[in-house]
Amino acid sequence: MSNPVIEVNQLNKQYINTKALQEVTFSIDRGEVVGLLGANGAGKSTLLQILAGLIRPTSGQVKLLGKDVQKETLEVKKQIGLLFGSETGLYHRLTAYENIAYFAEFYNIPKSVYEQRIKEWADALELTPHLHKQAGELSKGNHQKVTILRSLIHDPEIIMLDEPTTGLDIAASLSFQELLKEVKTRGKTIIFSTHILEEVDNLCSQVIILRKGKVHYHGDLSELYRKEKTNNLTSIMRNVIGGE
Amino acid sequence: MKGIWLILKKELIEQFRDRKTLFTALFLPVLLWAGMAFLTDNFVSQEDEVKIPVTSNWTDAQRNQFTQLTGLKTYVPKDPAHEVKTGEADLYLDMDPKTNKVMLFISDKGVSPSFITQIENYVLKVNQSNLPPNVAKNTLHLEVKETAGEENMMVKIFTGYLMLSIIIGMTPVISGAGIAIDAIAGEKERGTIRSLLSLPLTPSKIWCGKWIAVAFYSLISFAITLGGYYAIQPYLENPTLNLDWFLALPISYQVGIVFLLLVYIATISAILLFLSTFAKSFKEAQGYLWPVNLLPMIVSFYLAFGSSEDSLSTPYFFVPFANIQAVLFEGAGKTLTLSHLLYAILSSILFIAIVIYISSSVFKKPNRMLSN
Repeated sequence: MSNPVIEVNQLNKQYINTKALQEVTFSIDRGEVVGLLGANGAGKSTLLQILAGLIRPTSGQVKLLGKDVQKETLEVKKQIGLLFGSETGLYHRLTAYENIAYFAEFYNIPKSVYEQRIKEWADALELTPHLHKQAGELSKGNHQKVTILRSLIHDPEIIMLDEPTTGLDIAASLSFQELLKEVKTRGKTIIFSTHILEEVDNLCSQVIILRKGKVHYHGDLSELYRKEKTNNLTSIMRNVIGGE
Repeated sequence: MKGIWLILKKELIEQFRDRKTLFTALFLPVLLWAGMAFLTDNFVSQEDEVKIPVTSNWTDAQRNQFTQLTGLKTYVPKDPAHEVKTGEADLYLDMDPKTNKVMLFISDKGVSPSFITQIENYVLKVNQSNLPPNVAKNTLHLEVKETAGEENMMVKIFTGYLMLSIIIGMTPVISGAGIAIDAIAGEKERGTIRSLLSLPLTPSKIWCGKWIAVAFYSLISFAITLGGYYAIQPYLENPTLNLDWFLALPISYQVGIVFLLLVYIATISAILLFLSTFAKSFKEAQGYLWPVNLLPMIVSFYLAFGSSEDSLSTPYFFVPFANIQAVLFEGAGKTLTLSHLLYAILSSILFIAIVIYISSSVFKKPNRMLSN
């Protein structure tokens, strides 16, 4: 039985001279891990920002957990974990721990709970020795780990990640993938954009491929492979991007 | 309220850890005004050394005696009245040798009371000693008259109302600017604004948390600056911070002026943060803010030198920036009315409400907040 937690209906976003999104429609069920793919400028970040209630669409409707993002923005934001890999968004004069705790407190999480989460996840991502350093002193990879923890600290129902492994080394990237798998087992819905197709292969059950602001493909990854008669996602994406 | 408190707490911690902020918000104003105080003191001290013009009716013996008893030197210009008229001196002395009447002509644009006191003391000492050979048989009489004079602009600039008004006007702007820029334009530039806007918090609450933080730092900076300036007064030869007029006011006026001061700091903080909200980058915000730095000084100087009346017309009390200066001006001139004070307070509160509303509206616009 279908149990959509993300419902996007005829979504359009027009910037001054650009149609960033055109008639985008899809739905994502609870517990799915969806890879958002497309060339630079295809509309991935715009779509994630609209889903998160950061920017308004020109037309169309987005519902998360049955709530209209435009009308019940604050309620929806409580259920979202958001990460933009291109900008770590950390406060450099706060420690890594303070950055995470700062965000946790907005979601009314008891201190004992978020302290326990920080401890567990920092251990998993090998961040513990750096927790009490100011963010400005951290390496780019550790920056990204802190941002990941911060976006997950309130145990959101829906996790939106925009190129989350940007800046991570291989070990940290693999740790992050393990973390996402663990989050997935708890029934969370994850949608993330990436250029690293291996991550999609490892994590995703579904993909959305955007091309020039339109949904080129949305469905199971296995169905995509069957349809394209290849298990090589790189080859599929090369064809899509090459067609732009 | 919790959301506003969390934003405020973060801003305070973050700014407190920033050496640049601490310098510009807390130490720079103190250094600036302390330096200004000592410069002023030097200037006013030099004024003390100015010689007193006397008419040729004064004999050399009388001039020497005057210098011995007062410490003030004299000179005999061709036309002493002209010295006062052109602002070279604030007063001159004449002497009627027949009646032993000392005539003190003071500028109608004002003169330091200490000069008059010194001359009164001189007359008193001469009369008490009764010894000087040329006046021994008669007692000196002092007659004070007013004569056309020119205002000593520089003395007025650095003493009394004006110095206080400049400190009050400029300190919140100087100290709040860096923090305000960092609080929003800085967040845009560093890319932290997107994370902040993803929080389940209304833009108005985020903005208000930041506004209170800017106002708090400005208030602390102002308190340190004014306290520091007040504390160094005993070490100056000529104190330039005159709060006597304030202490002489009824308590209701004093409370009103202190409240207006808090509202003024809140107003300045709101304006600075509004400009920071409007700017897309740190540099753009700096460009917007530098003219704001000049506004309080322009208003202070305009009121001090542009107004020929002791009391001001009502519109002054409705204009942000100008209203607190107008209240200080009338307060120092002992013409302040309760209605003017209330107009200033209420208009400032209304102005803050408007700025918060507009700023929150701008803060909601993603194309302005997320465009970097």
